Amino acid sequence: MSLYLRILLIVMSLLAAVYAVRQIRKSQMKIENAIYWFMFILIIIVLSVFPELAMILARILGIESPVNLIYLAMIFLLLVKVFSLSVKISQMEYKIGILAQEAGIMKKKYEEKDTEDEKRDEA
Amino acid sequence: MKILIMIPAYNEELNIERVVNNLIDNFPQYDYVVINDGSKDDTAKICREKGFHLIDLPINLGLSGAVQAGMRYAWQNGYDAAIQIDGDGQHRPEYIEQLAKELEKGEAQIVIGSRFVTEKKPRSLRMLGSNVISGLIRLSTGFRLNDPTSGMRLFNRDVVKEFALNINYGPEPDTISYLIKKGVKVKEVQVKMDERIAGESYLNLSKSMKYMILMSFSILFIQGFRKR
Repeated sequence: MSLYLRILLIVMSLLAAVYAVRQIRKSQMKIENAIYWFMFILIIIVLSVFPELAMILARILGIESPVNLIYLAMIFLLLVKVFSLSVKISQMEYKIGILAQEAGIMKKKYEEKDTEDEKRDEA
Repeated sequence: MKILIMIPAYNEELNIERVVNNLIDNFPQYDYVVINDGSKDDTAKICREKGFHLIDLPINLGLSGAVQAGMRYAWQNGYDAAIQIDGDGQHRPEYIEQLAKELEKGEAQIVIGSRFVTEKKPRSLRMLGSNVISGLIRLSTGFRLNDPTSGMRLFNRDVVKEFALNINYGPEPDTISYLIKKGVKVKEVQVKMDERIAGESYLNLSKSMKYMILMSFSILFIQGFRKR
């Protein structure tokens, strides 16, 4: 891994970390969701600061260049995240549906009660 | 002091009646509300049949969402303080009076019913986890919290408002650590807790591991950056 690439990775990771922290400070993000990104950033930083580690891991996995290992790791982590987000979105769609249905049912109950009250008032 | 007891309940059909009846019969001085967190069993049905005070969430929000619903209710209805009592009955309501007395002194805004103020912590895997969290809170805030995972926490109105209206206020040790860091005063009172009599605990091994990682990371690296 070239020194420039390592510096680039570290700088980008740190910027990403700052951005994630700012989102938490501004109350835009749940901590349990942010933790994944902190771990992600940490892994990239560790691999760029200690390229020997990337080299050893690459050799074990039979990957020629350590930079490919970093790509592989990133793609893998991102795929995992995309898949879990996809699951989460499905759950949220389902839950929003339930909420809308419950709201509709509740509205109907209120409207029925209203018309009953009106009838009673007229009588 | 007007206190609301919040009882978050997820699939507690085996326990909820016993827990709430105990409150109604023996502790009528407190208001309570059961928050049914989208249970798949008959928790809500039982509450309706018995005429219990019930907030019935149509979907499952998880513990922090359920407790936030209770906090919102407490805040909107002008309660001076709110306390969480678990739906499995492990928290004994007879200790609420002591906790409330401590809160009324005005020295603390959060009073925690703790198993380990005067009693020693037993040695077990679960208590190892508790010790780790205690240690991390100490490291991060300098405050010695003996029982960080106790769910039996009494909050005054100001703190109830914060929980009710903000994101990232789960009823968990990392939130407590954050609040301590921001100058909220916390006190612990020795209590006894019962073992769960029926039904299943929410925490299994893999969930416990996940919980520990989340809490450790959150207390050490994230809570320090938050602003209040």
